Amino acid sequence: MNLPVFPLPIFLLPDGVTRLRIFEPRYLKMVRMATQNQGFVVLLNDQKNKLFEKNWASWVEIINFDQDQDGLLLIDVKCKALVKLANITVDEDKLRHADVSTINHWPINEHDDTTEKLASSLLEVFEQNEPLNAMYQAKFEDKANWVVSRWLELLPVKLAAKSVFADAKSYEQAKQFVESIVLNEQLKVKS
Amino acid sequence: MIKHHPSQELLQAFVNGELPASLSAGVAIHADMCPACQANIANLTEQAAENSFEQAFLHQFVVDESDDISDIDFDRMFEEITQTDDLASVTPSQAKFVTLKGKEYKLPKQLQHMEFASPMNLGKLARSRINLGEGEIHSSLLHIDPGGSVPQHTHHGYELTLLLEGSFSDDMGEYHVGDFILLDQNHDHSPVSENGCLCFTVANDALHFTKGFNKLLNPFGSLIY
Amino acid sequence: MVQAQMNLPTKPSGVTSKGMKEQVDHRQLSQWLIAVAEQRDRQAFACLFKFFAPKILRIAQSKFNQEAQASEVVQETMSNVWRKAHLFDNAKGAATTWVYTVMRNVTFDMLRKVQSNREDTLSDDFWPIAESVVAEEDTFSDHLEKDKILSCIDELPENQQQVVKGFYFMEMSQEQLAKHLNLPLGTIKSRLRLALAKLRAQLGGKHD
Repeated sequence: MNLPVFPLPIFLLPDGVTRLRIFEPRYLKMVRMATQNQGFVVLLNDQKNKLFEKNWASWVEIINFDQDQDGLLLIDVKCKALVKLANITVDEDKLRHADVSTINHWPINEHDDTTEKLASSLLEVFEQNEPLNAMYQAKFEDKANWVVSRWLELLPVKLAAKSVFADAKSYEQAKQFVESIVLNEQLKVKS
Repeated sequence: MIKHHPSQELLQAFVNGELPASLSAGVAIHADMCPACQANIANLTEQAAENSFEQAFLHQFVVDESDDISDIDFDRMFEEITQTDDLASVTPSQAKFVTLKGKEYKLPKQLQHMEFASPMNLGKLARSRINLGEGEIHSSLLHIDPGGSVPQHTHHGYELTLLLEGSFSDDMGEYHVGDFILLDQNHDHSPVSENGCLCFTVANDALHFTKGFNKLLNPFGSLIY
Repeated sequence: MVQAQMNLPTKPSGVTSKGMKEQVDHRQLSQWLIAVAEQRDRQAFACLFKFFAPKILRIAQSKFNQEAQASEVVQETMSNVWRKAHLFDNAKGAATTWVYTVMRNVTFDMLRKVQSNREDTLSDDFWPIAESVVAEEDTFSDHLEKDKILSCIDELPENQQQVVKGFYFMEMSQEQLAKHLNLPLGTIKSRLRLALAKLRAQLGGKHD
């Protein structure tokens, strides 16, 4: 499968949604291709911190689109899976393309005490944050992986640090990481 | 590689705010792409600031001390300004686009708040006039299709060509994105663009075509730049 | 109260010997400007006003024939200093350079108004008063809106950054997180630090 590639400073795990504003010709072309084919790939890239992720990328599909007040195209994309890229090429419009193969992310995990607490705090965030809720089309999924993933995306932490959690074996680490930031106080009471 | 830069005099005038908006935009766009000129401008600005706010220098302006500032009520001004504590909000500007011959170009931010007339097509050239109200001085965005050229011409005034995208060449050589090409009446040239290009142009007079059949085009000279 | 602070303006004292540069205390000017930006400090602004306003007036008088126009330059410039002080970046240059930029921009737009009868304000497009760093050669420069604004939002005060980030990035600011969790900002900051330190330890210091 060969898909267009969009390098962005965005960390997106499976089922994560983000809103993009598209106006550059090459990325408009990408959106055209994406609607006809099988989406595109968001490659974690943070120019400012010179971070170029080589090991993984987020394969996304377009789930909603709109125009902003200036008539620019807005698209909401949702991550279908994590992928590995190979043979990156650049076409005449400076759009990148790559061969894409899916890689595994975390296996399915059941809720436990911690993730349930994380779920209720995340739900509050969604309730208080209308744009976020709208972007997810009010579909809050009360599942452990989903909750930990969304928390990771939302936390104000360097992308390089977040990038670690794309690893298939990183779930426990991720859960603890989010827990130590979000639930720290409760932990102390418990132990 | 940028090879053509604004002269030191032009940079100084730019820093002083003495150039017309059209040329100021040209220098600013160039500087955005040229770290050397950018550093130069930063230096000149620092000097200009020093000169402006040193008391000793300011004495030169004072002709008659008795009438210099007596009419201004500084206290009232201070009151008016500080009436509100609000900070000016800064909204990041949105990208703007212009379409010439079906090709969409993103405008440099320096041109974003300017008013563009609807494009005119002249063979392989397309031009959108920028309405800056500067009288004799005409500013435009000029698109040249691959293989297109501007007929050999000369200028009575000056002509600035700032290459925004693509490349072109004339008898003096090849030009690249960011090149700041300011010609005066001593030059005549005929730019050819093999692969097409987009330029920001400023001219303070119509072009005068100098060769053969193109002389017949002279009435159109003012249409191009 | 303000009246009392404002024994304005100072005529050139005459004590300054001609030809000698008056020592401009750059650090003091910067501190005042920062106090204006961060605390909306009127006293500091009064000091800036006292220093700059008469100078700006003289320069404006040399460029405009009418006294009213010169006075407008002073008012507009000082008003921008008051309202946009948060865009001044101490690390990027002296306060005098920043105020000069503000003054030059106001003058440029006003001259355009007088000469070309234009009401546009193009100056800030040519000479940004919140100068961002030189853009690097872009191999990977995607022009997604938020990427473009990334450098400008860093110029904004923290609370404005949040608003912008909140819209374009679905990532919270530390303040938002603190608010959501109903915890002091300091606690959030130290938690983030600890969590990252722990993560780094687990990874053997490979990642930042």
